[in-house]
Amino acid sequence: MKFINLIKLQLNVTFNFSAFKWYARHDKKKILGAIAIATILLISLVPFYYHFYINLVKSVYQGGYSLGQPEFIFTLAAVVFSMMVLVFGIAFVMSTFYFSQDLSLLIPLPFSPHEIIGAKFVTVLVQEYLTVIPLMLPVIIIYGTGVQAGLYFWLAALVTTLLLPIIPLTIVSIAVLAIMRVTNLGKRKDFLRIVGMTLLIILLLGFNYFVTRLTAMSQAELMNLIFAREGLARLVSRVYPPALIFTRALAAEGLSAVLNLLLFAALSLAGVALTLFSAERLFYRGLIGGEEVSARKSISSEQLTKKITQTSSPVWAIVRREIKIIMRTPVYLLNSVGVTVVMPLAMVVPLLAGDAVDPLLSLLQTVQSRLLLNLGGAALIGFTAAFAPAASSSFSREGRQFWISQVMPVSPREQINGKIIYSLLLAISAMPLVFLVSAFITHWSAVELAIVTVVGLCISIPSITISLLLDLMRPYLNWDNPQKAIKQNMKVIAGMVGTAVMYFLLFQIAKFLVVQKYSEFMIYAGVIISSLILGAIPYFVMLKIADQRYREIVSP
Amino acid sequence: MIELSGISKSYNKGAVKAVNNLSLTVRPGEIFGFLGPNGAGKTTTIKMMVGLLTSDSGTIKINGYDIEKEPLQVKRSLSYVPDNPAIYEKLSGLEYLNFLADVYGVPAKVRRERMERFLSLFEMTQAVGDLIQSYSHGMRQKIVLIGALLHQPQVFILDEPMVGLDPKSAHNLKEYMREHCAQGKTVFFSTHVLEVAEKLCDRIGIISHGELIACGTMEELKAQAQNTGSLENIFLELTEA
Repeated sequence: MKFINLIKLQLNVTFNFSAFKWYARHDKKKILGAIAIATILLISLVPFYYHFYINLVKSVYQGGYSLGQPEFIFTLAAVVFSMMVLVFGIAFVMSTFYFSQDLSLLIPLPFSPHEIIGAKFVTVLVQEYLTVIPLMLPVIIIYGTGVQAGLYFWLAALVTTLLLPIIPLTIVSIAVLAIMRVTNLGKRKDFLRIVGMTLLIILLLGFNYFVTRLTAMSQAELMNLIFAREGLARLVSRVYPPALIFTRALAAEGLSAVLNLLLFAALSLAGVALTLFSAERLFYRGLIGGEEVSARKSISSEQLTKKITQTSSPVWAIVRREIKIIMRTPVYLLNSVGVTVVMPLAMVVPLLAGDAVDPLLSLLQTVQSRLLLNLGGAALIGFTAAFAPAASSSFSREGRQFWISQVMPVSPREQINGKIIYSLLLAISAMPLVFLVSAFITHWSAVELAIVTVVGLCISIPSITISLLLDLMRPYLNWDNPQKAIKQNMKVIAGMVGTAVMYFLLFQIAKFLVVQKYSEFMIYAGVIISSLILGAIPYFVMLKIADQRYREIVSP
Repeated sequence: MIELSGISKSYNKGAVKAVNNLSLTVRPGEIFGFLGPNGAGKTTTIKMMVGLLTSDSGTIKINGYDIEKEPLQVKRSLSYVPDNPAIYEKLSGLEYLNFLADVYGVPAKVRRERMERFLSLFEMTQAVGDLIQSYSHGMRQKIVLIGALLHQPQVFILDEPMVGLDPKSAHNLKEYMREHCAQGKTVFFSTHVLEVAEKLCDRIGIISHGELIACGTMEELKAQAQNTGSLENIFLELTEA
């Protein structure tokens, strides 16, 4: 019973149910504002969801159907969504298990480690459902209506969808419990944890590479496999074997489906049991002692002098503060910089392994104009800025420390300039990827690389300023674990939607310039100037409202 | 110098009056103690004085500058130590102090002298190189105090500064407050420790239910309460009336 109560409490805290009830009674305006923003965001995602995602699901389903394998859509969905939970779950699980501020309250209470982790696991799972269910729904409906499925299918679809994120989450949970146990080594633990998370991601991608490599086969073998019964499903599920059981639970016939459903449920339960068992053994040992430091060493007068001789302007002091905090907070680092490395790697690794580079190269070689390749490279930097939530959570991440920004004698304008500079610096973290693309695919010259970099950074500016503006309008400061500043922050999604609008406009401008056959110089100049103008609009709106917002925002 | 004139602040669309028409002047060279029961409006008043909350009405002037019209001048004139300071856990104490010295524009030579002095005064020299996340509550309080003193503010505003400090650091802080005021500067602090207020403050204000119910020197308070006893007796009599 107390475990159920703990789960209820954790869900309440995670989703702010009590706060919603309180505001519903005392401050309807605030709650209506939040609902309005959430609704606008959801509506703005609808075109993308409808036109892009549902059509994608339809065409994958039809592709499988034409090969007599409509069930392939389930394998692909299970693989993609499970990999998503695996890669993005690492920082999420680590932060929820270890960096929540309620741990100092929970640990002295008579709960065992597996109960605390169990309750936190449930909150992570529920949050994963918020992504997985909307993504699975079209898959289920398109298949179910396509093959005119019976009652068993719809019931099984409900159960398997709810089970789907459990296995990858248990894998991540056990890995995180182990990493935190091994890296709980005093002063350098944050650094070690970043190394641990990176290794885990490399391990996951390496596994992906290894398995894809294993499947490399001749054209004839491939064709045989594809046209065999369940061929596509068996091929794709090699990356993530439970996907095949998931597929059979939904699409096999008769008793086989039921048995596979039971097997999938049993595997999920076994994963949960193993997680709870690991929690009992590892959780406290990875957590307790985490705040201890090695013996303090006094700083001599000379050392002090050395460390403070480098004074800087307030703007640069803010840039340095932001970068230090991001680099030293594993959750922020993985979400801000890590995303820019992990996302492209996750896409590139299977391509490299599956011998898909050659066709890609030949495709790119058909792009006659270097201009388009250069613009594409610049767009890569722009997308990095858009996907890394450094700007869109910039004010929110200050959290309870926002009071310092409010009382210090630095104008909001200067503080905003500092935030823009460090967001641009983070956008530069896409550069290794640009070099990689250049070395293997596009072979840019030094001048072209300079063009790609300058245009890319300019393209990033509208994304940064619109994201900052949206965050400044309603920053989410009252979080109790750093992951919430990013994961549960609607402003991060709002920033991406805002960026999508900006990039759509920029794309149209660039397209117009290319179609009208302007000179290359004019096209680059046009894109740069348009970016700066588009970036300047949110910037000046921000400056207009910043003084008032800094005074109105109530620090928690 | 601090001048509060008719400031009010309410929450929940006026349902809860946190501060009601409060007027108060604290002169240069004065240590002013701000007392009141829990929820009386002390922190709300202080937050309005430092710019963390906007007042519904009235004016606030710090060192002659109006907080609405000249917020940056006000911020340059004051330092604030909150009751439960949340500071950057992932910075070391030294990085935090350097950050504040940068934003307050304290030159390198001066900041070095002051850091050495205050780190030694509050016994933080050994810990200043460590990340703030490893600090105890009292150490966090001390690093915020040191940060607040780096630019030698004209007006020093502290919310419950003694909470969490060890006796020696609390003593040193009180000594420093006296020294600060001896230079013609102003100290304004809230506290529940009535003995400290009685011994340290030149004047004391008592707030209850958002209203300033008494203000003056100890003698004036005694006269007002018609009570010749300790500050504790006067406080209880005034706030329970």
